[in-house]
Amino acid sequence: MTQYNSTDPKPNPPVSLPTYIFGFGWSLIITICAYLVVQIHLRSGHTIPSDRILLVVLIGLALTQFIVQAICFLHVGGKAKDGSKRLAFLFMVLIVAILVLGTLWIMKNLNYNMSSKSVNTYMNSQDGL
Amino acid sequence: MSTPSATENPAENKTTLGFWLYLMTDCVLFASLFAAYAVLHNNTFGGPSESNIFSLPYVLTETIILLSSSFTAGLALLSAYRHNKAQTLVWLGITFALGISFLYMEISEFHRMVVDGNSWRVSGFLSSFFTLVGTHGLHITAGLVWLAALVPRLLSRGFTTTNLKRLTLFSMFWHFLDVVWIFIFTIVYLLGATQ
Repeated sequence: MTQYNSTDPKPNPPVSLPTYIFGFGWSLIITICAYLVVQIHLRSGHTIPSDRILLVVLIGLALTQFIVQAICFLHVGGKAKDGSKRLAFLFMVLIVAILVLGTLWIMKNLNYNMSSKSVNTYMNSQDGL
Repeated sequence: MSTPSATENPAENKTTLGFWLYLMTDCVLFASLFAAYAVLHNNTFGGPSESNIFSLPYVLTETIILLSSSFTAGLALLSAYRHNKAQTLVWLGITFALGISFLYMEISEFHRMVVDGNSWRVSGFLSSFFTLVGTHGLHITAGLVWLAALVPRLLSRGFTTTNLKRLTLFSMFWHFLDVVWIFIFTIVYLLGATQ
């Protein structure tokens, strides 16, 4: 176990204060924007914005905040020294993309036959509900 | 385990990379739980659906609390790298307080749902919901226990390389949990409220 001496040189932190504040500020803004968009959508009776656009906007905001936090808080990318870290991160993104897109593809395929709501209705009718 | 030199940067060593690799696999785990939720979230079995159960203002509060705790954890790490003991402990304390507030709110929400009859046994939607959000909550709990365990070592041994490394790993873990929550907030709660 190393001994701590107050004369030890202080190591360089992985992230700087301005980066943290920038990341926090933007994350806060994005979060509140997403919340407000949903509230407006609900108050306007599911019309503004439309369901499709709402989905795109919300996913877009989530991905943006993800990138902001990955860069500002988790310090992904940038220096050549973090090569392994960046590579592992990109590989994770690849695997998650396969998972997510693959799932959506399968769901879309199955939906061609019957949606979950139809299944629910069918099941309920069988149970006499 | 070899003793690191006093000048070795805790943020750039094998242990940090190893922990990062673990975090990446945890992301894949959560992705699979999200996939299960996506498939099952409409299977309400005649029971209430997302829009009936979730309270958006409540969840927004939780989200801002967790985001703030992620920020203060980063501030704690900065103070630690500057060897400022008092500041580090203050920021860690605030991180813990915010974290446990989040956990309290989440457990209260779960409790209310179960008491209302909407437990994980009732439908596919609720099973997948409790699994996804509950797993995140378990991670938060583990993080809080870890944080509580870090503080006595900091108090007794100060800013050794080992302690700085542990703090670095903890803050990575805590930031990662907020990143996952971004997607829970968006996909489960925000999109759910519009169904």
